[in-house]
Amino acid sequence: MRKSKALALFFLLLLLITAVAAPWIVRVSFEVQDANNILVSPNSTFWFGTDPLGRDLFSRVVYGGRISLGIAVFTTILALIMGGIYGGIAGFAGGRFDQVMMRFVDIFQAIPALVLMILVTVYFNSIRWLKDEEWHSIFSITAALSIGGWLGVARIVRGQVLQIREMPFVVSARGIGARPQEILMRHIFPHIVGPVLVILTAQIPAHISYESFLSFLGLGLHPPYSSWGVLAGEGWRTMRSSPHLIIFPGLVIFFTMMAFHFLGDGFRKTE
Amino acid sequence: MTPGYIFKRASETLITVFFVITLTFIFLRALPGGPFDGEEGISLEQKRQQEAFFNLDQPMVIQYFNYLKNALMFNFGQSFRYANKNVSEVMADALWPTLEISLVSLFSAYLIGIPLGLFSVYLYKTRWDGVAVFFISSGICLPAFLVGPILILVFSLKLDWFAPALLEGPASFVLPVMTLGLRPLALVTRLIRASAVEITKSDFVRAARARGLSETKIYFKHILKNSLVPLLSISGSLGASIISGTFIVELLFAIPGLGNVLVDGVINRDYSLVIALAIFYTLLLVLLNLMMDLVLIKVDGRIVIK
Repeated sequence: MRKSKALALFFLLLLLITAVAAPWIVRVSFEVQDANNILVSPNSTFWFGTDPLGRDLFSRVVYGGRISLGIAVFTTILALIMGGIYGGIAGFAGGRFDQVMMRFVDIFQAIPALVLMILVTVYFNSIRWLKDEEWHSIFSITAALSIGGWLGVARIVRGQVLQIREMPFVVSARGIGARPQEILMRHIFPHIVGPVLVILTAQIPAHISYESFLSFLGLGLHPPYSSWGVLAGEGWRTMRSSPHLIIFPGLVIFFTMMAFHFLGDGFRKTE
Repeated sequence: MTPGYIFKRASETLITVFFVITLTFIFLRALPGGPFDGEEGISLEQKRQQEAFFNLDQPMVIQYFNYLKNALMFNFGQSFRYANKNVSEVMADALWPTLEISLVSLFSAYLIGIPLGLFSVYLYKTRWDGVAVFFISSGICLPAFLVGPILILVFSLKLDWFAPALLEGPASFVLPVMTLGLRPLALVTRLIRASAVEITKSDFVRAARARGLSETKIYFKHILKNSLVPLLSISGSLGASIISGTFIVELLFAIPGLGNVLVDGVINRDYSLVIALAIFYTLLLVLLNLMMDLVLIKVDGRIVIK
């Protein structure tokens, strides 16, 4: 399995590079509409073909990666911070306080994640307090993903903290009179870095799939800006005449998910 | 399984449902713009009248308590969009197609996934294991909105074997079920493979070998039986996977089910419909988890309830 892990890492690095260096990689910008080349099938100039407005699909996929990956990474970090603080407090406090806090998480987790996310996206899509349309739709999707994402993190972090705080080295630190924040930062925090890394490889692909899901349903960004899910959603509408418009964005999502999947497996095995 | 435990779980369910009603109410009523804003050619007065008819002109708090009272009696009021229809009627109409494809997908996932999982155990430690892992992972990672269109392109547009949309007759089930069931199938296969590999290494299997039992007997009596128990514990996530899958599958195949109703309701701001659906899905998931926990307690003697 070592080989698949290396391949996964290589693919993700490639994605990262194309996302960062997007302007230098694409032939034309994602917004440029070429009236002479509408719905062209993939060829040597247009690697992924063009869409009904003559925009280069390869360019749109590369730029879409910026948004899809950016949102996924950002919301995962946000979920880690939120869930980490919440779960850390619950686990460190313990007792009744912990019980009440975790009951709240239980209740939230009982709601199907997608139903919750749909509600939140719709809510933020309609309040519109950011002027820029693109940033606003990015913001609402970010809010939706973070609201669902922190729950699992909180649960895992709390479990870890509960376990570690009873370990001899923490008990003895408490015994010699270390302050709570010192125990938390010096003794407990370093021990939850490992599990958190595993969560990271599981949450990023989950957020990519949720984001593409919402965007596919039409709750995401609006053209010309687009994530992979938006592209797939657009492609589905013109599927009969030009299947390449759904197949390429779909495949990119699939390969990315696979890469994270194998990378996560690799992490778990070396633990 | 004491009555106390069941009471505790039941009250948890109630609290959850109450919370969902409140949350959905806050989200949807806080939206600017009412459900009749998009309608063309009605005067302000007519709009007021319509809003008064649906009690939208009353203060928020009163609306909320009214809603809570009605929801407890399973009365979710009128749908704004579907003329002259109760929310429960709209849902009842849409429930059947969704239930059909969901149950068929779930059963197929178990029916095919369990033998596949055992077969992949057979491949474990051979050079085909990597291939098996690749296929299982693909099944988990493939997004439904890629699988569905590819199936439609190949099997209905190119080969013309199945209709590309709607549920009419058993043949029309094939493509939606394949799209919806793929991920659950892969999850079941992966779980069976993982737990069976674990069990193969356990002492009682080694003891059975030492006693001279035949390999088939070991396989079915010891390995299969014990690897079925963990299946129950992932039923909740399978259920959630299928619920979210129906949103996409029903859109792709134009099936008039609950997922389609929800997506429409969200776009049209059909408040009562969306709230009722959110409550319905939550209840479904909570009950599914509760049921599986109870079965698990019965099946697995090691679990002690507090």
